[in-house]
Amino acid sequence: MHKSIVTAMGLACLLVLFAAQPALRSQELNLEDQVIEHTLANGLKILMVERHEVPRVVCHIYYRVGSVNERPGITGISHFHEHMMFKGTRTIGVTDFAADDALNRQIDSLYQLIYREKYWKRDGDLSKIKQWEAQTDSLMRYEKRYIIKDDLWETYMKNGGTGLNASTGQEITGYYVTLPSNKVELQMWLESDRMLHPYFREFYSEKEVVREERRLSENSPGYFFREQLNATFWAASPYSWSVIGWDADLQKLTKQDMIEYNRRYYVPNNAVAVYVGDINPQGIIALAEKYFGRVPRGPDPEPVRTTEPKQYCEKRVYGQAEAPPSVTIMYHVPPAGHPDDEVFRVISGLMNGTTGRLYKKLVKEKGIAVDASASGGGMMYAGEYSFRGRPKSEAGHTPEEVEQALYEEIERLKTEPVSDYELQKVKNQAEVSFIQSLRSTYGLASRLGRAELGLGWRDLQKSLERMKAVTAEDIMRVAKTYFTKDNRTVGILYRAAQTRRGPRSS
Amino acid sequence: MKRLLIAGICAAGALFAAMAAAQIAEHPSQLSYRPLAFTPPKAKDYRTVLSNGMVVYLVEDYTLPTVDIQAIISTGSLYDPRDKIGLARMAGEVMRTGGTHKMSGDELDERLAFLGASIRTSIGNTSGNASMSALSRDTDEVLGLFADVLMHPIFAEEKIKLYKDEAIEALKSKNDQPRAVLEREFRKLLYGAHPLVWAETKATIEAITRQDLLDFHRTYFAPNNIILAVAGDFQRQEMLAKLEKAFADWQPRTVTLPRVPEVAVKNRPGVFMIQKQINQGYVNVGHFGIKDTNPDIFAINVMNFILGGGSFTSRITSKVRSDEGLAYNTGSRFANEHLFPGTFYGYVQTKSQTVYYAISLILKEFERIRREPVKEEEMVTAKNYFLDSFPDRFSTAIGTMSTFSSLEYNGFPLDYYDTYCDKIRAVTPQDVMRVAKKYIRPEQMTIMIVGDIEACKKGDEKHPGTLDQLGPITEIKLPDPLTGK
Repeated sequence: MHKSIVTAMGLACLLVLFAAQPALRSQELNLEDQVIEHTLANGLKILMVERHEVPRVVCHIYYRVGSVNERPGITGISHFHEHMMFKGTRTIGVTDFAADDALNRQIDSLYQLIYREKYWKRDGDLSKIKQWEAQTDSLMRYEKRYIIKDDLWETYMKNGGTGLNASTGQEITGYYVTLPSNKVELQMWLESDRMLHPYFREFYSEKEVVREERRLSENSPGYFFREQLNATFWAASPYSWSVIGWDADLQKLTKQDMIEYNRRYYVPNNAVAVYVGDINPQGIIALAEKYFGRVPRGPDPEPVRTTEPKQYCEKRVYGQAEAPPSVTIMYHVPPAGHPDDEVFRVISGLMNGTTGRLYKKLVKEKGIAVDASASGGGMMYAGEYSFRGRPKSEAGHTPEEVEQALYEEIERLKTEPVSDYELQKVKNQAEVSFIQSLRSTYGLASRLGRAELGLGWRDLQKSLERMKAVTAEDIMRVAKTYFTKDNRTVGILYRAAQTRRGPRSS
Repeated sequence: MKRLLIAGICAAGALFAAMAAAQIAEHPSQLSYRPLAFTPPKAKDYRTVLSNGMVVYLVEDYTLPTVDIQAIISTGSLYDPRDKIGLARMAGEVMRTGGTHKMSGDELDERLAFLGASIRTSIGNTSGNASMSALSRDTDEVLGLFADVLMHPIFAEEKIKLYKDEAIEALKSKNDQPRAVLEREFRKLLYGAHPLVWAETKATIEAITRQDLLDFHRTYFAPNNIILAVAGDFQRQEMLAKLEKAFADWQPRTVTLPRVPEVAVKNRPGVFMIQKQINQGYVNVGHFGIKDTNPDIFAINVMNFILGGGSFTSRITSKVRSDEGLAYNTGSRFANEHLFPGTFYGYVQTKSQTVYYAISLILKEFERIRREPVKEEEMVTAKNYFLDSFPDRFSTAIGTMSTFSSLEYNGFPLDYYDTYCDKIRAVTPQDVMRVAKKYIRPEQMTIMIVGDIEACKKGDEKHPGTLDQLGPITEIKLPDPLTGK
């Protein structure tokens, strides 16, 4: 109920606006009491949380797919695919599907010829390529008469969709919209439609948009260095490439690659739909049964096979860029779900913030850095934990000096038990940030959905409990086990004296 | 929704799954929705004034066991002295990090960290902000610290030095990000020598003393110059009593903001280029815009949504990105200022060889929205978006209180949101064309490009045309960020 009428009673009445539930105390803040779950026969999980402050519903759908599911040759496809999901279906984005489909088949066969001539041959026939390209250009111009531009996006917008977006990560891809609470059915219609009948029209022009997006990243200071450092750190794991992918792969990706990728990963048994806001859970379940229930279950996608092998020697990367000088020290750690994982969260708490050890020692006490931090932990298939610092270069300090100071703090973790006070402080902060994370409906939907595809949404709270159980001895043991010389990759970035030309895309 | 959903539940019983599937509309345009009424909360119902003149917007909110306070202080870096640019920003940070008579900055940091609470302060161009967030069981303690920081900061010398070191180091990165360079230089070109675009240098930062910070605080920080937004797990009367007590020692006094010169509104048509060895051109195409108090703002918002503000639904994005594949980021924006005219610009980042072509497409859309009436569907989409998404502003209690305090701070009528939807509904296609003609002036465009100049100047085979067709080209040399020279 949205009782927003303010009467002569004035303020007493306002309680109704924001006080849907009696006051809670932190120990009573139990996710289990707030989240309602339902699983469809096809395997799609539905998660729901009621929040009745305003008549809006955050609607998110997450798929367990990302750049870790790629292989050399198709890097960047997860993200490119996310773009393609906005290009319509057999119903959305098109006026005459049959006519458009016929045109697309012609365009695809021409591009097959072009790609073979361009990328398979050492000395492809340029005049042929030019001729085929001219043909595809005119076909694509002709196709515009059948295309309803950005139909899905516009449909959401004109129905008051906000927070409209999608994002692709290394492991998970999400599609987001917040709608008026009377229009959740629209999201069910559109999302089940694009799960059932995606159609990848405008593939070739969208590829250029994605390549522009890659160029944008490249022009962010220090990007090439970070990309190389990451590629150096991972020897075998697909975490080694960026979500955006290598440009050469983007150029050569085919429509067929996209179709196969979609069939493998965009199945209901690889997804979770989350609704947080002004909902009636029974109503959501009924709608989900009706719309998503019609999508057939697919074969379960195989988890990523490659695990990162043990690293037997230190690796070092040096570079320069038009960016602040810095040092990054990266260590391999276990994937999420490993009992040591929460210990890394505690270590981050000890290290970071103005009362953290790194700021205190490197910035305040020694005065050699302008900032320093530590972060990381287990991911779905592997783990990475890094220490970073930026030297106070104006006073002549170097990344190498900061590197040594970081090692001193890492050694201290191994040899000196943390005080009860420090440990308690970190645990208190974790508890409060857990509570605060429940505030935003958007943030809550995101945390629940992402957690569900990893260790399950219930683990959000269990992880907090495990973290509260971490001891000073655990920290020393974990630091000794993982923060070793042979297990690390170190990146040293200097500020480039002159601007340098980045690689030019053809 | 409930009525409709009951029908939904019946239809979706497992046995009737097939039947339900058959009932799915063929197209989403066939879906119908129950009407949804939303009346926004009224600002005046939450407003109260403490005995020392501090204005408070306050609401009880039991969603979480927390308390949040956000304060707006009437001040800004706009009033910095010429030889001490950066004073307000430094005061905004060091008043928190530098501690108070009761507690050093380090002690304050430690205590707040242990409680998982936070107190933050900062000062921007035209306002100062302070906030606290804590578990409700710690309200008394954290509120006491918050009040102490606002009333009695000591600006400890060691924290001033720490701040200066970081600020000077950050200056060195000022020309790293192409987009930051573009936004800054575009504004500099338009606003000329106005304090809005003054930039800190090593010398102006180093010139600031502890006494300057103390004087700054004494000048602007008074209870009657502050508006609070408060929400959380408390009883209203109890919380008001706590606020009275926390700020009891603070006496109101007259605060006079220095006079700031008017902006000389003179557009600077032409092509301006800044060299950077990158593979795209970062482009702004625009001129002076509006103050946020402009009465045409509703028509302007609808117009710009259609032109380039409504992401994929807008004409520029649809053409430049979706149709032509020229860019990831493109659109148009009215960046409104409060006390001064803001800017209006179209923007795009595209590979060097398509810079001219992308700019020409944006200019065409500028012309088109001035000349052709917008379509009825475009109007419906734009207006529906503003109307249907309106309740988002009130989705958290502290956000709502903060929205109200901003209204008051910026001098808007307190019933602004009561009439918001009617004002959107009232916008006509004629209004859209009128404001397009009035506020978009193609002949006055400043075209600014950050990129590899030589590569951007030429087009390519597929996209012929060169930049000099757009006007005389002037190259702007970036000043050294440390000296500003």
